[in-house]
Amino acid sequence: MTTHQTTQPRRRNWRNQLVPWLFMAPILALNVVIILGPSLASIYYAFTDWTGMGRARFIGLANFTRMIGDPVYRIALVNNLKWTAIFLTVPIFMGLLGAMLLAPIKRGQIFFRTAYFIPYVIASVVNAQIWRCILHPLKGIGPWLARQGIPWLNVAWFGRESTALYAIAFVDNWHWWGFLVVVYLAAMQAVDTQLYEAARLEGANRWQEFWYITLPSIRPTLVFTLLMTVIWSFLVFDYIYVLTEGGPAHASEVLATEVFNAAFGRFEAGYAAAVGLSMSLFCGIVIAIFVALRRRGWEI
Amino acid sequence: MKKRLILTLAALLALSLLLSACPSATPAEEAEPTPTPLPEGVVKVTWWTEPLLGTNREALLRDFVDTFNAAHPDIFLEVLFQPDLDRVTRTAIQGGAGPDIVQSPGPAFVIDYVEADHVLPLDDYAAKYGWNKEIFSWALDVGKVDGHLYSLPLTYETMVLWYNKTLFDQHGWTPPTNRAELEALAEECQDQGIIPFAHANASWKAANEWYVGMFYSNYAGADKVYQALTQQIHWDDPLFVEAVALLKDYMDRGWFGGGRDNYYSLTLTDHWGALGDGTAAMKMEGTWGFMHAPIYFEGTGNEWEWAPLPKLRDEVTPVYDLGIGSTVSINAASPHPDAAAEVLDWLYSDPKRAAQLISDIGGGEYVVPIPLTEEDFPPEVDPRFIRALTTFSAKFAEGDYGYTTWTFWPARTEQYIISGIEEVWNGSLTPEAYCQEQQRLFAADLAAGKVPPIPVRQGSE
Repeated sequence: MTTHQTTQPRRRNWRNQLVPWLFMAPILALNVVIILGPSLASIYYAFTDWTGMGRARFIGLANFTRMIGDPVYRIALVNNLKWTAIFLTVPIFMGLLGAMLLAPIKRGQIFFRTAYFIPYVIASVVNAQIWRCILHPLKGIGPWLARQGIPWLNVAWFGRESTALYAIAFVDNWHWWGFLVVVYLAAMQAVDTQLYEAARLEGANRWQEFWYITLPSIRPTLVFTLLMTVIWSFLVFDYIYVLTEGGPAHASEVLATEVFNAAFGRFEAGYAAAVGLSMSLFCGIVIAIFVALRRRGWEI
Repeated sequence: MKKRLILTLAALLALSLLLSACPSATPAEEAEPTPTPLPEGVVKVTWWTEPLLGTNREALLRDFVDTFNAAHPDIFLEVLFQPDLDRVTRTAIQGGAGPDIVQSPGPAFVIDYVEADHVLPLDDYAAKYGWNKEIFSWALDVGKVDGHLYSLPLTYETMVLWYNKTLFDQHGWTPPTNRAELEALAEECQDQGIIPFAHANASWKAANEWYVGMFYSNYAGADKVYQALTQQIHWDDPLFVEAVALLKDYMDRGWFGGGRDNYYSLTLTDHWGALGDGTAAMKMEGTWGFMHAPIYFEGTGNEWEWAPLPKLRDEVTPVYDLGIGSTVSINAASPHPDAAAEVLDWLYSDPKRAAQLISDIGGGEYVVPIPLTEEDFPPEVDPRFIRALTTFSAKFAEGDYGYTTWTFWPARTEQYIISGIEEVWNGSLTPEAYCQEQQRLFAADLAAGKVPPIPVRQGSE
């Protein structure tokens, strides 16, 4: 009797543990085939001279030593860091500001939320094409303004080395910041309104409400978006590829475009894998910092 | 509130769909499989090719695919239009799949396929169908790897000077034949507010290499290029350095597209449009321009014309550079290689059919390397195109040609030519350093067996 009683819960316990895994099995299998397998293959190819076709020859750390001395890699890495700095500040600030201004609005909020969200749901290629037309150096808004007597905006933004990266960042931000507004707004609306009422009774102004109540309350959302911003900034590709292909003269080159050029332009798939691996490393460092801070008790 | 939300979401969806329908930077033409169930005993041959638009697509299907299928009841040819063809094909072939007929951007790209045993040697088919009698010998030579034939050129091309004839006639200009005439004309254009050369690369970054190749051929000379390709001399020879310096000088003077910023910003529509409406006077571009010129001159009241490129140094004899736009091979994994060979033969075996296809497509693509005479072309074909094709094909048949970078340079060196010249133009790299790096990469690629066969020029050794 005693044996029977202990076996039953054990079986149930075993079944309880197995069932979730069975549900997860298809997606796990898919992940192994689509993500883990190619990831491990990429690690292997990073140490080879593979062209993307045929056999790969093991060349040790040659790709990595080349990468360190490669001026294009350095330019791309610096551009990724600039991109990260831009996206950690400009859209985050705009998103917070937009959400803060929008939060008290009761009438027409849906309209604004929708309007801000529209650029996010449009394909990046289409967004890029729209802005290519708007900023066209002969037929765009710049020449039109010049004809109205405002010549200083008449610039070939994507064609000038000093402005290309920032012009692309502007276009990318145009689609991104509205998404952040909606995310932050949702987080702000979950904040207990009694906190604001109490603050107002204490005489707090809008800025103090934001700084002492809103910001701490939405901190997990904010930190999560910051974390994802850093990761996505190291993976950025589409807008840059569509608008400048990393040019002119590598002025807007980033690591992802360099991976693409190496793999599909120069057929240096081994070198491309090494550059890709370095991108993963940078993202891994950011995630490790995030996890470490959480373990130290940070509420993020 | 709920109704308003639904209306807003509906508006959002409609706007998204509307914006998504805007033309994108790259024409996303999906492949078109033909789901016809095949009768017993009929084998299917698949061919992935680059997307063609509108009437050009209809022309290929009508003039080539339909005629082939009608003449071969035991074979069904299916042509799929694949955007990003080279990358898609390489990935599929590497995975042991892909089409029966493998199309690549040029002979240098076929070498990787050969090394990995992904394409079949065509020597037996060449003997069976008599291709050495039908196809130009240089065209067969460039498709050989280690003495075996692996690819055939699907289209060949050259670089010419396009110009707005109406504008030239109005100003009493004639096409320049040497550097002095070219520079005098460019200066006069600029003085009159006309862009000398409608050049830009926003639609096709690789346009950079057209100019590098042209300046090599027309300044250093085709003989010197041949010697460098065979490494009898090096790419950092002073003549190549001077050619690059001259190219930089033209860019610095704002002759290309009205300046460097515009060059990097303007698209194909912009620069061909500028030539058509007379905003620009000339452009140095390939014979694929026969497809663009009629479109961008239509409705402008202007007329287009072409001329050979001028020589840029007195000691040089002008030549037409030999370019191969794409090649065709047979997939080693094809279950029906003999049927695929039948398809290839259909491309080259009848000059009239080939001329009809070339004409209907507009003259810039599917220009197969076989001898064509004026009589082969339909009567309605533009005589300017016939004059061009018969002129440069006759020159090529004599071995009188130069070399285009996208045909004879290995991929890695070619990519450096494209990206490095932008650093020369912005002054961060000297012409000397640019040529030295080219030499370093080329020598390494040559040692690795990545340089395709270089057909000997008339009089060169």
